Amino acid sequence: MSVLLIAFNFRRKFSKKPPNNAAQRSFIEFILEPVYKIFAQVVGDADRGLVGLCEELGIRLTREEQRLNVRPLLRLIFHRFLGSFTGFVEMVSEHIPSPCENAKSKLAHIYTGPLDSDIGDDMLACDPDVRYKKFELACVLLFIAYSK
Amino acid sequence: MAITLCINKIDRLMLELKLPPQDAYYKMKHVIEEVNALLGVYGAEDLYVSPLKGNVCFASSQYSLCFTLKSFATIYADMYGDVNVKAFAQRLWGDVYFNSKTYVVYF
Repeated sequence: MSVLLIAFNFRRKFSKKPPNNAAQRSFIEFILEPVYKIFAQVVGDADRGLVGLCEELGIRLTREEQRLNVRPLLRLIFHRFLGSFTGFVEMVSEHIPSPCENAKSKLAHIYTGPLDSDIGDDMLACDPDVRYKKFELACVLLFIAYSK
Repeated sequence: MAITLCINKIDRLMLELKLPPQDAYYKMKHVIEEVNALLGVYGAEDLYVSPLKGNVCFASSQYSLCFTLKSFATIYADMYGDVNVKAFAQRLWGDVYFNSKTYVVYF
């Protein structure tokens, strides 16, 4: 059973309508099914399928790693295959504005004190050196550190 | 303000609920729609999240599994080359089908 598909000149081959009754949406075909197959193959038949699976995914496991239990083994395989949370990091860096740019609108939401004070200025400037100390002075009853 | 959505624990759809891939897809789609409905209540239509916009990612921290459409498309590109990552990622969500009869090779 193969895990991944090869897509040639994929652009012309996608359509809004299913080409046949058994056809699945592209998200299922290209993403979910490979993930399902990795789970199934490692959970179900780790001894026999593992070498072929790793070859297909283009990853290497040492002998010792192959003998790991299912859960750490799955972690390792997904980590090598998908990278260490690169998708999440990319998403955040692309879509979330930097703290400095965002400070003004964010502070308006979360800070109830006056923004035209020293503390306000330092927070707007996202100055890492002074912020902590002044926060401590400012919030006697409750200390909350907001950071990204 | 910016909002990104990370759908975590997707392994539970597969291992605990044992949903077939199609139902898992509907479930995730439903989660996204719920979030957007909530954003709609507050009139934040411009903040709508969608995998196609790149502000939704799928993850299972327990299994060190995390991807967006783009990051998964990048994996295909790294393995097979000659794939336009951006265009491919745009075709990986929604009612889009791949014509597998003629052009896909299983190996």
